[in-house]
Amino acid sequence: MPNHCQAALEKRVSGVVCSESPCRSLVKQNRVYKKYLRRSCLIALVACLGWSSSHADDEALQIKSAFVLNFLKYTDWSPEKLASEESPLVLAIVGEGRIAAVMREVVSGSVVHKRKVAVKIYRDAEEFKSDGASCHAVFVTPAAMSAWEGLRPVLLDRGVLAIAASPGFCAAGGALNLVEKESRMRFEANPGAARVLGVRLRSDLLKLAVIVKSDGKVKQ
Amino acid sequence: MKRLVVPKKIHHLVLVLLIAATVSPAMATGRNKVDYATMSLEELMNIEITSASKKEERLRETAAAVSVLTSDDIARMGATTIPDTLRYLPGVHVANQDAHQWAVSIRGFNDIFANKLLVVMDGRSIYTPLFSGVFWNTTDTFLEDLEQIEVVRGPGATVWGANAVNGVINVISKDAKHTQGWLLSGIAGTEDRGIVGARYGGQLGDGTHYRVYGKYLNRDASALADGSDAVDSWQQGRTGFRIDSESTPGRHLTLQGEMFSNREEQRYHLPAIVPPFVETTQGHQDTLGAHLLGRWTEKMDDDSDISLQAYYDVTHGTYVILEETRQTADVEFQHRFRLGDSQEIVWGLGYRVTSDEIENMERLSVNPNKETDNLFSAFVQDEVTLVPGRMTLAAGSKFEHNDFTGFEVQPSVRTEWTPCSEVTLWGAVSRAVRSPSRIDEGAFITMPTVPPGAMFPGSPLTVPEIQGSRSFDSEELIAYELGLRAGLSESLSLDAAFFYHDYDKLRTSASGSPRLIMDPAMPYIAVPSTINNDAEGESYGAELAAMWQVDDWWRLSGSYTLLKVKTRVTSPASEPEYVDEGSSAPRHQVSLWSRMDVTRRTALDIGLRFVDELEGKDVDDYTVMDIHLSWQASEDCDVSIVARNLLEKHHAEWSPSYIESQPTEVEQSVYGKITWRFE
Repeated sequence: MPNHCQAALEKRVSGVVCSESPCRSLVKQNRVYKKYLRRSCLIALVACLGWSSSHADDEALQIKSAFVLNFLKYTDWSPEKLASEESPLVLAIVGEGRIAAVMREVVSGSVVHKRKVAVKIYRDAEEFKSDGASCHAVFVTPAAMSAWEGLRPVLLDRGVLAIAASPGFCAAGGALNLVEKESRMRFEANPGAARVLGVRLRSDLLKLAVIVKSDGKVKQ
Repeated sequence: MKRLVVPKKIHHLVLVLLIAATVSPAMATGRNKVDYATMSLEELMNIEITSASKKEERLRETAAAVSVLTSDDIARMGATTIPDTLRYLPGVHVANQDAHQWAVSIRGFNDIFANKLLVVMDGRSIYTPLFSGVFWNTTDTFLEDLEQIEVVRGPGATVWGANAVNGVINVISKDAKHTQGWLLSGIAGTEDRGIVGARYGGQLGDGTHYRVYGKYLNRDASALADGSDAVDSWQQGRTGFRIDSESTPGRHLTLQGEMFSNREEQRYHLPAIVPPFVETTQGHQDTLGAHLLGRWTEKMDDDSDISLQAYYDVTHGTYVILEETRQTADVEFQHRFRLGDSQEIVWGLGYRVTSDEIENMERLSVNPNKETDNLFSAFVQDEVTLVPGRMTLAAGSKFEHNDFTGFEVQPSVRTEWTPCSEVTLWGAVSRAVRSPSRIDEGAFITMPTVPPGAMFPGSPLTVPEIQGSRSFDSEELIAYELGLRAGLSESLSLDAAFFYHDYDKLRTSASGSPRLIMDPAMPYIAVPSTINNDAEGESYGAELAAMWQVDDWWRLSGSYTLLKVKTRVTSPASEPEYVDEGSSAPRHQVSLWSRMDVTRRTALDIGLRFVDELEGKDVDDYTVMDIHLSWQASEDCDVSIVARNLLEKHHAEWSPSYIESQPTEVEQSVYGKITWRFE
């Protein structure tokens, strides 16, 4: 091989043209090596996309879920709604997605009012309407918020605590709503709307909440 | 014969680390996972939600191609400069020309003088009207105190203004209340010879916090293709402060300032009219700079806020080919409010005045050598919720008046549709312009000479010259974008963006009549070319990014970028500046990044990047690996080791265009870092 070609290859100077065969084969080997590296990268990426897994680590969603669990602790249901001590306290989640999955993981199995909490996830409002009113609380995910207006009449006086994390939820007749303010989680409560839904929010909960009335007025 | 440039030892190291990565579930003792379910309401209300999750939520709501690097990402990448933090992001091409000069661009048209990217640091535009680009060597700060880097791919001109043509890089530092106490850091290594930094943050009163910081950086010269020293070492000293006050609820006041001194070694091959027709010049380049910025943000209620920001910035640069002093003053006002239930309106006004004084040199001169330019701007954007929680439409425009081209309108329409939870589709059509720079309008550049007999036997010595033109107009872009964001499962998410960019009035130059110059040293033919707008073109491509949270302790992310650029001249007399994509950006880029919390105190991050060749620049494709291993020695102290650019001993990433500094190569490097935090 001509010296200039070998030098060029080793020093990685391109632009040197040479047609002698040992030189060409060396250039080819170098290309094959690069092709191998390029393919390895692509295969690794595709493999990464193709695998599946189980755990999500989303702090904000876990915090929201923990709030929901606390809300259950500070809510009173009628004795009829909590008739059987063996049956679980049911939290329905309307709308799928990560929030639903994280909430189930955090809340499910906890004990509230001496009952285990069971979580049921409904794909959409229609599915929930068919059997959801038997639950004790419902969390309406942001994705399912557009269905809240149609959902609320079904829940009136059924003893279902309605919770969400969407702006304007309490003003629209929801009982409790999570809001993020200055990097911290806060919550709004509409005790009047809770009464209409057939549940009572305890004063310990209300004193930490921003009180919102159904007409949208805020009372600190 | 040494055929491959990858040393065996590094192969072994890589193999061991990869095996460690695949078998280490057994090692995973898990991070210190907080059990929020056992917390009381009061405790939960006291938790500060990290900006990462906030950003994640906001990102899902943005109808644009956006990536965010958090402070944690920046620390774990092991990058020591801002451009190096961007290397793993989709759609971004970062190439070192030498130890202190970078070519950084989004969606093509890259160069160290790339002019279609806007860079903003804490609200201050880093863009220089000298060449419509960024001096990356002076774009730095105390990296430990960065909150995040947002990268917007595609035009952002409606909100950000001219020059946000192909993208925006927005660097944001932390609020002073989040940088309290001491932080000392020290880096020592083979390329980054020494970087030391210190910050102290304290409280001035109820709700008012401050920090002061300083850093010194010393980077070794890179290598020439034959491995020898490229004489391009870099030193920098920098000091600054930031005060944040929230003593009145809803009101946030920020005052920040910084000054720096930069010194680089640089070797240039300048054109000469006597044999060997090139003159090698070596010298120091010095830049001094300072800025002061104030911002007032007032939250009127949950749905409206206003902000007023003003800054002053001064730099003085002495380069081998030019000396420039530039002063910029800028004031901006912004107001956001809700109109009815379904509309959110943001509008703003701005004024910027920039004044320069250039000391002309033989190789490069700018006429006039002193100029003051004004920029007036206004923008309005209305985001309408068409279907609550499902569909929004944002339309708006920036209106600017600059002293170069007069009135410019840069509108955009963006829409976002969420057909089901966890899937968001978005689309956008936008117009952006790149306004002319001082170089475009008034430069006189002597290009490399063509020696006698080089073109044909007996051909005379020829000296090409490039002249700016007052009639140079803005370069224009209309961009069409489509995107998809999807949570494929609880832990796997995908972000895809597809774009078609239609450019018009791109920069070209047209040759004028040659003239004979009877220079006493040697007569020569001067061939002038005048800058004009006689090119058009298009680019299209895809940017795919995936993130997989394999387990609580392991996250994999990957990205793939495809880019094709085609340009052509609209007048036969003109020469295109960008021949094709091979001259300015790679066609394919792939990156893979693994983040592992191996134990509660140990983190191991491995990155792999492939960057396609730049055929027009004679730069080969390359694949390199970066490794970051950190260990939390105590509550206050972190120790880390970073190895960068592994797999090749040194590799070229860029070759100089307009100004002939030497082509240098990036070397493998290793450094160790200690970070110490205490009250």
